[in-house]
Amino acid sequence: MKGIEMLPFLTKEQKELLETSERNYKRFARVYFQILSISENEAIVKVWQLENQAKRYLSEKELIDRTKAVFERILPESVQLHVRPVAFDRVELNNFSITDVEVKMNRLGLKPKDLVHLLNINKSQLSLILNKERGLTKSSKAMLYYMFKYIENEPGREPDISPEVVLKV
Amino acid sequence: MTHLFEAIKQIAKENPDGFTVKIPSLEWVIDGYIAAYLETQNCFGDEGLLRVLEHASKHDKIVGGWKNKDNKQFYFDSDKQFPGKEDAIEFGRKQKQIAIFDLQTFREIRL
Repeated sequence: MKGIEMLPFLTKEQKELLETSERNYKRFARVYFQILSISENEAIVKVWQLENQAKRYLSEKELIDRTKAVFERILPESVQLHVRPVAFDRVELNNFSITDVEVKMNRLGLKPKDLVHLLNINKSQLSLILNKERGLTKSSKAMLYYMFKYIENEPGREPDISPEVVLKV
Repeated sequence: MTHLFEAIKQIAKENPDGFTVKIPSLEWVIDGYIAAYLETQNCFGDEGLLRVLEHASKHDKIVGGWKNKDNKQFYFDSDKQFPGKEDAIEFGRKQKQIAIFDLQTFREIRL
């Protein structure tokens, strides 16, 4: 486990427990742990999940719960565990790029003018957002990511898009 | 067997973080409770995979594996899947496992 060297006080049994848990969560759930820091009274552990075969994803609350169980009987009682969870959609969101925007637009049959309409912005604003040299800003990423998620997950609902696209579908 | 051997090796190569599949279909095991057989502990490399395939063929036809980052070896095991928790826990204890895994809730159950 990344950062395990920060826990030199671990017994052999505790180390084996941690390594087994790390292996199991990685193998079965694509959940990963990293010990970020440890002090006399606090330990900070990051936990995140990547894409998995079951397409099942834990919420931040569930990731925190799993992490606390992993570190049970591991940390000294005086050390409070703080968990930094990153749920799968956050990872996907953080990695969302202009290439992903293009892929989704193709898949959904959306043209730039549709995005202009859906997002209620003008063409030059859209060009600025999708500037490849600049890349997506944090807020643009979130805006586009969740917009596409909404469209993809609402079967039967036609987004309010231009007539040409409706006819094409 | 050769075809299955090569197929599992390929799955292993593509999934160094781990995998668990049914044989011979190679369908991923994604529900129930899963526990490993003691008999296939510490099976690694080609020889280990052959042993695991032989064991799994005679038992529950589930094979899994993961890459050990310390020694870069690929470890394999033969596994059993249970619909119910209690049976899985009992089996896991008999097989001297440290934990079993609930694939539905993605929760490890320490024994």
